[in-house]
Amino acid sequence: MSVNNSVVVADAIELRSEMEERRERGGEKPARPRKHRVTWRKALKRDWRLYSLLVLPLVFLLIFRYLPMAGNVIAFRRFRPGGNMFGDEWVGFRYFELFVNDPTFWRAFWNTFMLGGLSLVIVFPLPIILALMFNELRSQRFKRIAQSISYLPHFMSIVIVAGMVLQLTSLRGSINQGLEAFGSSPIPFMQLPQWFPTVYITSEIWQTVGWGTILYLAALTTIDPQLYEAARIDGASRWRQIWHVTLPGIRPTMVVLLILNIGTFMAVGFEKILLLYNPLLYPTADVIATYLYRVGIISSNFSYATAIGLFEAIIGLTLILTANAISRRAVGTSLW
Amino acid sequence: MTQQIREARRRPVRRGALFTGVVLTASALVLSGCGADGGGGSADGESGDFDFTGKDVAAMEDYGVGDTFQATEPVEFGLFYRDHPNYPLKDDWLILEALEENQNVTFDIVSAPLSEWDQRKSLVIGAGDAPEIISVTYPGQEVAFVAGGAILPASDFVQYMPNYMDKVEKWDLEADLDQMRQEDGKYYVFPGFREEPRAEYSFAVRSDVWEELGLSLEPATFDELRDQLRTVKEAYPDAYPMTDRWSANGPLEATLSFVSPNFGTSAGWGYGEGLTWDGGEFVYTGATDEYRDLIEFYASLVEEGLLDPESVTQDDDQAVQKFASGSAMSIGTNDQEIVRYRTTVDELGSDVEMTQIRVPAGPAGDNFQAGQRTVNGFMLSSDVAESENFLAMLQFLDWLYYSDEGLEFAKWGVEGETYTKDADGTRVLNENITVMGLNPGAPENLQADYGFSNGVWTLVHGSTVELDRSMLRPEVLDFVEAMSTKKVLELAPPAPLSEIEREQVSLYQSALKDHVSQNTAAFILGQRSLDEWDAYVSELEGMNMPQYLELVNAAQQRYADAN
Amino acid sequence: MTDRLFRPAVQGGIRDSRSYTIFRMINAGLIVVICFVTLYPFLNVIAQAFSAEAYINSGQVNLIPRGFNVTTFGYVMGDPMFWRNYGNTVLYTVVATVIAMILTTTFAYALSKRNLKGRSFFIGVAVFTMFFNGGLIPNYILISTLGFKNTLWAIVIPNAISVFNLLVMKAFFENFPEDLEEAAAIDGLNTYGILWKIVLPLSKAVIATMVLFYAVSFWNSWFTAFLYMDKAELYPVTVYLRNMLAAATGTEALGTGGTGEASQVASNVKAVTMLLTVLPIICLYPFIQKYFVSGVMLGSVKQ
Repeated sequence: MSVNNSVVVADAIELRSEMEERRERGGEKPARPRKHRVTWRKALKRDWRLYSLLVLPLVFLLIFRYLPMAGNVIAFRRFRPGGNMFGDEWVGFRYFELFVNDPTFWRAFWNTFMLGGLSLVIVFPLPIILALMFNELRSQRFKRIAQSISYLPHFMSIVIVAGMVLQLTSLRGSINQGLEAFGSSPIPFMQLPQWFPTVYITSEIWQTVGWGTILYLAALTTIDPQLYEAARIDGASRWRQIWHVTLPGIRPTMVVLLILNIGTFMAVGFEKILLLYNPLLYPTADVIATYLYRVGIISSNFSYATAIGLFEAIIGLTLILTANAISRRAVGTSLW
Repeated sequence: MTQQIREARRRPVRRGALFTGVVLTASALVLSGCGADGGGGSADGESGDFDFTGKDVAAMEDYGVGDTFQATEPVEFGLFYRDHPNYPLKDDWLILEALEENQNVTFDIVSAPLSEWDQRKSLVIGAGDAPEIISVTYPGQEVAFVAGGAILPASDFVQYMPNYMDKVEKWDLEADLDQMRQEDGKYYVFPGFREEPRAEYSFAVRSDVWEELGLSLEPATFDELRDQLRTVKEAYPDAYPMTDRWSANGPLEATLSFVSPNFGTSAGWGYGEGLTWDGGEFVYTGATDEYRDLIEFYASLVEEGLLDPESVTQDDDQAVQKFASGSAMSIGTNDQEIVRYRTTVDELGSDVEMTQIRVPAGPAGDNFQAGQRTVNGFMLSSDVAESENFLAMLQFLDWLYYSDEGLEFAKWGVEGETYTKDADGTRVLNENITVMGLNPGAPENLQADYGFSNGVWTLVHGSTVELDRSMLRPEVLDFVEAMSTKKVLELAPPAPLSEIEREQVSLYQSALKDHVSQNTAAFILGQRSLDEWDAYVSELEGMNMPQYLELVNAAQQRYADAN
Repeated sequence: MTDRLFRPAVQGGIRDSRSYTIFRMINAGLIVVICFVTLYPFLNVIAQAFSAEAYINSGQVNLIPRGFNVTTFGYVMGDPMFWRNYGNTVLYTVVATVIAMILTTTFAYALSKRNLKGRSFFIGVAVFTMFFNGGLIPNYILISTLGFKNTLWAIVIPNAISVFNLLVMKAFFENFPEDLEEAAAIDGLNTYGILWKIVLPLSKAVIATMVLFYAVSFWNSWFTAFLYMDKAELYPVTVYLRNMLAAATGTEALGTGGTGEASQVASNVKAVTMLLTVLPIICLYPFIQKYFVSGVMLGSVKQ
């Protein structure tokens, strides 16, 4: 049976006005049925179609994600390349002890935390602001062109971006030329560890801010134009409209992205740092991934890498659970 | 990014092992009563004879030095092939056709791209899925796979490879081979051999500027070179007399690797595991006085404004730009890069000229790095020992990679079809074919169209001095000959570690090496004053340097005692 | 166009405040600056792609190509393997995106129903996989055992669901107005019908976004291909170009072309490979853009 969209819409409007009338009449909101224990049998009977939609994805996750996870056991066993896939002998926490006792690892850990944290705090809000800025443009053509241009950095290959950064920050590069014009002496940015976080974050901003607005722009389209209309009628200026309509409209997206980013903030990009860093910058630039890469060249020790991977995973999981719980308490929205 | 794994692993072993090996093998041969095939008397196979029953299908009955290998029936070998974009694999290559026709050998090829070669190799071996022949493996890369038993112990089987043994004896490669031995006394990679090490890296200087200022293009010592740079600086105050490149993973890696032997130490790519043998025991390279001398020299260059301070960290592209545009008057180079520099300036229409100079001598003498005679080779997966064509495979590999005939074939091609030989034996490439800068502009390329001089089947472009140099441009020939008068340093004794020791040591090595790299750069730049050298050494000690040395020295002692 | 930008709009009889007009001017100005900063490096890369080696090596190329030539392009595009690999990439991307969208959308929709029993558990199952994975070797063995090596499936299946995308999509579906779905249910549609006929057509923005995200990520991926493909004919074009880049910029003395053609393309091979990889996907975006319209039609129907 085909259903006409407009018929559905019309019905929905009817439904909504009915509900509004009921509310105006002074009754409480129709209470949700009290959540009584629904047994699995009932749930399956009621929602079997929904569950059917779940089957394929769950099977996928089971086979392609959970099955290989068994391989993580090599963090506790000595794995020899070419030998048993699950490791040849049990060694317990040996590999964990190895990295816990390695001061270079902790330096890498701290750097990962710092760079990831700065990314989160500084880089996260910027796409939101840019999306709002785009939203305030009146000319549709300008808006579309500007948006497309802003996505370009996302497509630039990392090798080229790294080359560009190195060029810009070189002693005779644009930044130092600017400094000299203002009278100060040139700074060898890529040879002083204290400058690395700035360089890294700036290049991250440049590369990701445009692309990051896409989700927010998609979210902005879901805001009911009627709300703007209503606000305007109520006499709200554009500022207040932004505050009371736009921001709350994209709030769910913001919260989801924030939680996800908190959960994954320790997964600092490996390739870019590898291309940008050099030994002088190790104190601030060496992150866990690059540390593992250097150790790996010498030893090819899969077990060691897996142990560190497990450590990172547990941290990430804890972070996302915490962020989710806080979000539920504070804002009411959460991932689940 | 590439992994510049040029760290030759030093696995020292005593000569006593050789003698014992000879006695054992000789007695084993006598006792077993069978002569196998052509194995040389100086074999160092420690294990006894391998039983080839059932595994010698298609092998030749009589195979020795000077024989051309031909399988008695068609065989196919699995090959892990490194696909280089300069010569993408083609099914109709002459090399494949010739091998099939003349040797009765075809390959079942598993490819991996050059860009991910090492990672893919590591994965495939790690997962137990490796093809029979694993090509392009540098000595040192096989160590991680030894414990799992995935790789065949090469040393047990080289006794069945007559050309291999012949070259080892002729060129006195025992000590070099010992460097590769593991704790069990065996080595696991079949290295490529070089009769003599070939120099590749040096400085490229602006010969027009040098001549203009009356400077010799053959500075005898580094001090002389430094004076030359001072003169250049005076004449051209706005340019750097020297800039440098190849600092991707550490400061001035390529340059320090060829400069350091002249200072009595090793650095850059040559740093390896950071061990220097002082005659009685191992000391840590990064803490020695010789290393300090090297750094002091470079620090003085930066301090006087002779060396561009960005050299220790910059991108290669930036370095080349500086040299090509005249902001720097010399740069590190190898024999291929200099052509690129030259083409650039030629296209710009300037009168700039450049030459690659001989590396000068230093305070410790006129030296060349040790251990450069065993190079890039191949490994065999351990399950080939079960294959029925095992013996045939060994013979084939011996012929292709170690016999003079096979080496010439893999490098030059088929006589009459790709090259011709003069009356005095000089090889002349056919006019319509180009390779390595010979016959520029010719329509066909020996590598891309015929499959010869291919990194997978040609180990190191030659190996005998004669073959090695047969394809070089005259300029490079001059350079190589000039460099060959340098003294090649001796190898340290082997000190193979056990699996558990290696796990711990790799972390020490990594931390120490990072610290050395970081401080090398800092000292050179003047960020850290050389007065703080002692503080730096104490820092190294705090990073487990003594523990590391203890383990390594104990391993060396252990190996020496056992052999 | 400028007066449309700067003239204060009059809507519903209310004039924009002065401060807002100034804001709009600053806003437009800032956006122009941003466009410049993001466009300039890109133009530089384009210029390099068409420039001669010598000018690039001496740092003389800025926005305009110098020594205009298309040698590198010719070199790359004259290789039939390049086109073969390009075709592979298109195939892999299309198939992978379709599979990914089907799995992700159905999963996200089902999980967006708050009263679905076991919902938290299923979400947890998905989120867990964001952090824990088996590592290279177990995955390799799995794909090998399933016989996927050297086939299309090795590329399109392993990364079919991105949990990130899944959760974002779920959030969008959760925000979808319930009354529409209820009305449709009253009108006799079942779950599948509601999803297909109501929810999806009105969620064009998020679907377009996800298609874009997946397509771009599959287009750029090279990792799975290098892991599981043994033959050069099966590589996507990203592996081909990466390989070329490694040869041109690596210091492997052995086997390098030496003074052959290849080393002469070294300087702008980076720029050329980037452009060849990126152009098609950039061209995709304008087509996606038209879906970024309001998905909720409710407000446009007057009561």
